[in-house]
Amino acid sequence: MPSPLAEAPAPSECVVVRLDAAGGLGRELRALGLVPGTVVRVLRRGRGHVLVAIEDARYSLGEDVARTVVVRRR
Amino acid sequence: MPSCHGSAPKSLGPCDATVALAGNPNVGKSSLFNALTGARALVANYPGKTVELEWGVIESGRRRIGVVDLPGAYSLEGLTEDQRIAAEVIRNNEVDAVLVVLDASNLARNLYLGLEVLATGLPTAFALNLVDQADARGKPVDVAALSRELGAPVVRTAGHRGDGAREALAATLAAMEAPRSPGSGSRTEPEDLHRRAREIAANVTGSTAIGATESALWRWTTTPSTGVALLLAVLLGIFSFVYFVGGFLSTAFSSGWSAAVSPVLQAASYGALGNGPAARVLLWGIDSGINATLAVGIPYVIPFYLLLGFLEDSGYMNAAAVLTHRIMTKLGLHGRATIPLISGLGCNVPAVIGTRVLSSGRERFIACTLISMVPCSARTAVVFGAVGLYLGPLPALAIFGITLLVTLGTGIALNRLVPGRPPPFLLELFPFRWPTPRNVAFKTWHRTKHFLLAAVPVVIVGSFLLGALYETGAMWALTGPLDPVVVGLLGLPPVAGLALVFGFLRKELALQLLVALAIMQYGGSAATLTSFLTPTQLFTYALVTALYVPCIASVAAIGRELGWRKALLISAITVVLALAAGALVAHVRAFW
Repeated sequence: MPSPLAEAPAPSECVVVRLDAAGGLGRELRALGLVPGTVVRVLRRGRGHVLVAIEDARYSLGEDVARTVVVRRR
Repeated sequence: MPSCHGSAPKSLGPCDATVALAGNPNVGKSSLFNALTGARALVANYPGKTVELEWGVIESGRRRIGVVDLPGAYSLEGLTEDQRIAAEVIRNNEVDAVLVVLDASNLARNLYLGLEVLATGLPTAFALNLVDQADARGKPVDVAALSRELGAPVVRTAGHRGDGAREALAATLAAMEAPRSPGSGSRTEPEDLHRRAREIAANVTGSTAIGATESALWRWTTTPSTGVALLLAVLLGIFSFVYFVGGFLSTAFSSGWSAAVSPVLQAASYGALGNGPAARVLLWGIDSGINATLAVGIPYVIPFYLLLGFLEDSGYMNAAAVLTHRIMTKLGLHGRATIPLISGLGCNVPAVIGTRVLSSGRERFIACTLISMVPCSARTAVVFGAVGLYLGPLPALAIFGITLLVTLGTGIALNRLVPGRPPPFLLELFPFRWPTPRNVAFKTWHRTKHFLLAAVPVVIVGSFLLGALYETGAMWALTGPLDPVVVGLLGLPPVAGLALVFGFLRKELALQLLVALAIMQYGGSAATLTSFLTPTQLFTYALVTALYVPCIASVAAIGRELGWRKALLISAITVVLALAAGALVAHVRAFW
């Protein structure tokens, strides 16, 4: 069942299904590799943000940003 | 010799070709730039653009090559103004060639930008940086294979030591000689570009080792329970270091100037212009004006920049931004705004310039308004000199406390009032690294130079103006019109109003000016502040000084960054808040 990255448990491994962010945010997320098919590892859920790893980089995504990334558990 | 290709600044002098350094943030791009250009690099406005970029010239054989350090970006679709400029320079072929710096330990994502640059058709070479970290992670990169895959030269570099920098530049120049590829022209979908980047990365590292994990250090720095205490310790460390080192430098610079230069300037001015107002106005500008930047601006800015460079290179700044972003979002800001806001404690001018890392005009407006209320070294000196000295440390702390509350309140209010939403939060957590002294020194030097160019001329002009108004007695004309506000609202003596208004030209003079004017008004007995001000009046005066418009130099900086209308609006907001806070204190204290 696809669900927002904001709701993914930590730790877990997900695959991006769809990106709902448009405009500048969408472009930025796509540049970082958040495109369909990308494996995202959820490292930790903090207050108001979630810490993820894509390949060799780690990002902190705000709750609102993580809501725009739709993922499937792996 | 032909002048630099179209877009290089004229101040660079003639050169034969221009090369742009591009790369993701935090990949050691600036270290390579410093290794190439040394301390001679200059910061110049990109012609026709508002953003300043660092340029340097390198002699390569008989050719002079202009090199520009583009702001770090993840793609040519950047979100912040800085990154959009980087993209424009490359997309519009405003340089002759590009050297893309890659982080070998994070190859796939770095290659995304590299492939975008290749697609523009510009002659391109690659510098493979941070190779030792890739090796340590068990993902060594096959340089020859990478070069084959990209169809472009790849050179191993160690940016922090400067190894390979010249070779990488030579490879870029060689790429210019090679037959030019047409470039794909059409835009490839991000999905396909990422797939290609990952494919190349997998082929040349020959490893599928799992990627990043979270280190204990990140957990400590970004979890509120441990992170907040650490952040407070860091801030206290910054404050003490800047306070003590700055105080020491201030005394050293200023007494050196007073002993060695002032007497010469005074003798020359009085000799040439006689002992009249003309000579005194001249001395206000060139003697006391320059002395002011030596006593207040520069000595505090240098230690602050040293620490800032160290913290940035260590990777801690982004961890702090993750920690603070919930509070910052309430103020309408991104966690990234923490850095310019904190740097306002040294001087507001570089802090204002630092807001370029923010993505929207709304955010930059809010950040610049709040920065205007962050007590810089000049205003801190006034608070300590007036309140700390006469009333004690607790009332001085109370001023900083009230300032902090007003600043937070203003942020919350602006976030509700200014149309738009806080920016989405998205930040890379860089690996923690030991900063190299060389790189920190370069950064400090560049920023200090930048500060000197941006602030010092304005302070000197302000000093001339202040001198002219003071020596001619023109400033007294304002006493009457100011009375309702100064005497009525703030409960201060009329001279305090003049000192407040003209303190705008030189904020750190707000105290000396007040004493000087009081002596002219009341005679020599007014030499100490407490002889004509009650403790409440002194407190009110210092609070208003701390809150209203920082100074002419910072307003000029905001004007340049955001336009004059916003600079005026921000000034008006701070004046209203300062008067409101001052009036409140004056009247609440009167009740007691």
